[in-house]
Amino acid sequence: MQAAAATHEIVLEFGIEQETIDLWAELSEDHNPLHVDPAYAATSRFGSTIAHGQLALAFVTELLGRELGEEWCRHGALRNVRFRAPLRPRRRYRLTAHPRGERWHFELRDRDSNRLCVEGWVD
Amino acid sequence: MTAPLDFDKLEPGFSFTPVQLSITRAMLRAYDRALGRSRRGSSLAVPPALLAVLTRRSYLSRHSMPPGGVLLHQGLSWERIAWAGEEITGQAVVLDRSEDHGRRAVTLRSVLRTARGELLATATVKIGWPERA
Repeated sequence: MQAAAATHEIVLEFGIEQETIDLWAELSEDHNPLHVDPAYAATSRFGSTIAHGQLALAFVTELLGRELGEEWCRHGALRNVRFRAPLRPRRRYRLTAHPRGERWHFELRDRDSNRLCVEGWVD
Repeated sequence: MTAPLDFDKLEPGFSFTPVQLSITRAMLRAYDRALGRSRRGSSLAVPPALLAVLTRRSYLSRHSMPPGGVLLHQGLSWERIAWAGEEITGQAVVLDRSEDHGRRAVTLRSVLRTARGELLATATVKIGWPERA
């Protein structure tokens, strides 16, 4: 996991592996076969396992937490987060966030295809 | 093995029974491993995304999600830092349920409070429900 900060954009790039998803399944007790059973997931509309949506949110809060600091960790919010496309194992992702007035807007995209996977707002 | 949530029983306004929840140190360690991060010092502060995990348990402590359900939309706000081991109460309520041309969805709000009743976090989720068999 590598983070870089700039004046008007902050970026986090990370990879998702099946092991990452399995770890999240254990800690969240969410063993939906779409996440943890490759054989089942292969027959689904997704064609493979997919990451939990809240795992994606964890990367968002990690990035914004570093930028916005302790006060945001004490009192903050994610607003209107939309899951547009699933995160899949063996892929790398690029999370970017930009300030827009008093808020931040973030986008999480597949690094190679640039497909938008998750977007939302941070207060 | 818990029974899956039944879409037809999730009437808007339905309140789940409050549940006692907590974040363990093992969960913090698993969180760190999943994100490939190292925890600074011995902090027991709970990351906001783990509060989202607890809000989910507010409606899944006695049930499971039916296979194929996916998260479509989420909001999450938190009012203060929570700590590993802290006693937390979670309660969820159904806000909305829809079925349109076979596409089903349920919207839930979950609220976490401390043992003293202080508001800790609120989450709203819209879940895409699997198609009827």
